[in-house]
Amino acid sequence: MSRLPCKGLIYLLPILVFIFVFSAFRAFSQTSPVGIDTIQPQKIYIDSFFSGQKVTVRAMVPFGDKVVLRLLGPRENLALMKKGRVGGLWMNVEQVHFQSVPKVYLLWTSEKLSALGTRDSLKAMKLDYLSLLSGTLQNKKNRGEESLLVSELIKLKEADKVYHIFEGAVQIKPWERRVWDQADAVLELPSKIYPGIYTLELIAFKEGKGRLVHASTIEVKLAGFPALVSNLAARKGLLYGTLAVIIATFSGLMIGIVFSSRGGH
Amino acid sequence: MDLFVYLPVAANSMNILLLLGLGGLVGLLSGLFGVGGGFLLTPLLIMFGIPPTVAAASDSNQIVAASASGTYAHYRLGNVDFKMGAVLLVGGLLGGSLGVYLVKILRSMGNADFVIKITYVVMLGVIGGYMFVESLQSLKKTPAPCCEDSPGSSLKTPSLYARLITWLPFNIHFDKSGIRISFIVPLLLGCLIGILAAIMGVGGGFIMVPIMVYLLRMPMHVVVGTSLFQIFFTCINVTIMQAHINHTVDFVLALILLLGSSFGAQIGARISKRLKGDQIKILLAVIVLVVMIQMLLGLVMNPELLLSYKGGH
Repeated sequence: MSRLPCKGLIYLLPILVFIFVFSAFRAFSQTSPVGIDTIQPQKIYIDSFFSGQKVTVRAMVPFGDKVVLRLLGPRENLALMKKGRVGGLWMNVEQVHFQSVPKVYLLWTSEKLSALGTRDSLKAMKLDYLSLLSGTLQNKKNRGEESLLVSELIKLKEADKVYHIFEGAVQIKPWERRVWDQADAVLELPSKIYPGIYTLELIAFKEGKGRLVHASTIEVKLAGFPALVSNLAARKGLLYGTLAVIIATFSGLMIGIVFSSRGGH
Repeated sequence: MDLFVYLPVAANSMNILLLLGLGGLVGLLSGLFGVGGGFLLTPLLIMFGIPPTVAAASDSNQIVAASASGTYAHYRLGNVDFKMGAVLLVGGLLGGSLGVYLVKILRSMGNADFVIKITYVVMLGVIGGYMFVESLQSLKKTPAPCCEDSPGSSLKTPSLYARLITWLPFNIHFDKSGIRISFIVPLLLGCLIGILAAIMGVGGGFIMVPIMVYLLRMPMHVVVGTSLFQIFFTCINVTIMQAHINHTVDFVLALILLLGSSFGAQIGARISKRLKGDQIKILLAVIVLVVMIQMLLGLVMNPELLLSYKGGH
């Protein structure tokens, strides 16, 4: 009789192990929601009437984290003209080359950038423009002049609306009480967006320190008539130019004929 | 309602109505004054976010349509001197090629931009100022300083220029313009315009018109039609070259602009018929002077941005 409970325990053991493994798995699986959950749409098609695109993003982060969503465009080498004074007049005086500059750099944050972390931590994550673009200038310059040229590049990109920081644009709400938070944002992509693969990064800040939590991609593609025109212009320039001239001449003459037949000259 | 259209080579969207309006405005000037309008439209397009190289190349493409439309309208009115246009065109093509090399030399010397800007301001200032004063005098019924065939002027000693052009051989009668002149004169003047157009990066219409009026002494109404005829061919050449070498012609942009500009050119041609030659000249002079002042301010005042994309005017 006394051995019976022990025997019962032996039968109970697999059940206990199963319960333990299941609980452990559940506990483990609870860490997996961290990351970008939804990107809608993940493929953007630029058609004839494209004027920018709203992208809905949902992400999960550990409770209490501050959130940054960063969209980085394909990189390019830039040749720009620098203005300077010659005989009291402003004109282009020098060609300036930058290497591997992101075509697009957009940030959406849950707080003001300065409230996310220390200056060093922002620099470590290359969140501010200056750290992002440091080392991209190809012309050899002293530190002061390099800093001036990088700031001017930022101004140029901001004027094109392809560099921007949207502070406070990410909304955070509790998802599972004191464990996870849900971060939501609507990313408004500008009309001046280039085809290519864009990287969307989820960066979380805790106690002033940032870490990359997850990275995903958004693809921007030309479609329909813009794709046709762009391909023809890039690959068969002579044919494209000739067609452009023929169509322009024909259109101009047709409008001229229509006007003269109505005008009675 | 969003009326945006995506421009595939410029890689940007723009409002269709805005583009039609810009095209219409420039076409109006084109039909009215015989200028391509590139000196006005390209900076406007750049201002609205089109990359400078794409703005300049696509502008040339739309000028093909506007000048075709304008030339046709003026041809119907009997205002195109094809013979004179052809001689100027040959000179312009020669001068343009020469000018491209000159720009290359200036760039290698490092002061191309300075020369271009100064040439622009000086040319605009001199041409605009002279046209303005001369047209104002004509409108006030006072004799013009150089080119009126009034009885008084025939009594004066001919100028060095007048003696030179009568001395030159190979005189040809240009029926439409009603002048007899050596073909060397329009050939050389066309060449000069080509050089200036290449240095300044424009079609040269606003230089061509005053030269036809004051140096070739053609009647204003024939000048406008003939200038458009010459601009048509110049811009065909530029469009094909830009599309082939630089891939900077945005056909969608050009197509919308040309729809506006072709209509504008027709209206301009009709208005020009109702205006006197001096009235047309003084209006063009005012526009040229306004552009010159705007350029001069750009040279003197501190720029908002120290960096800019390469290309454009």
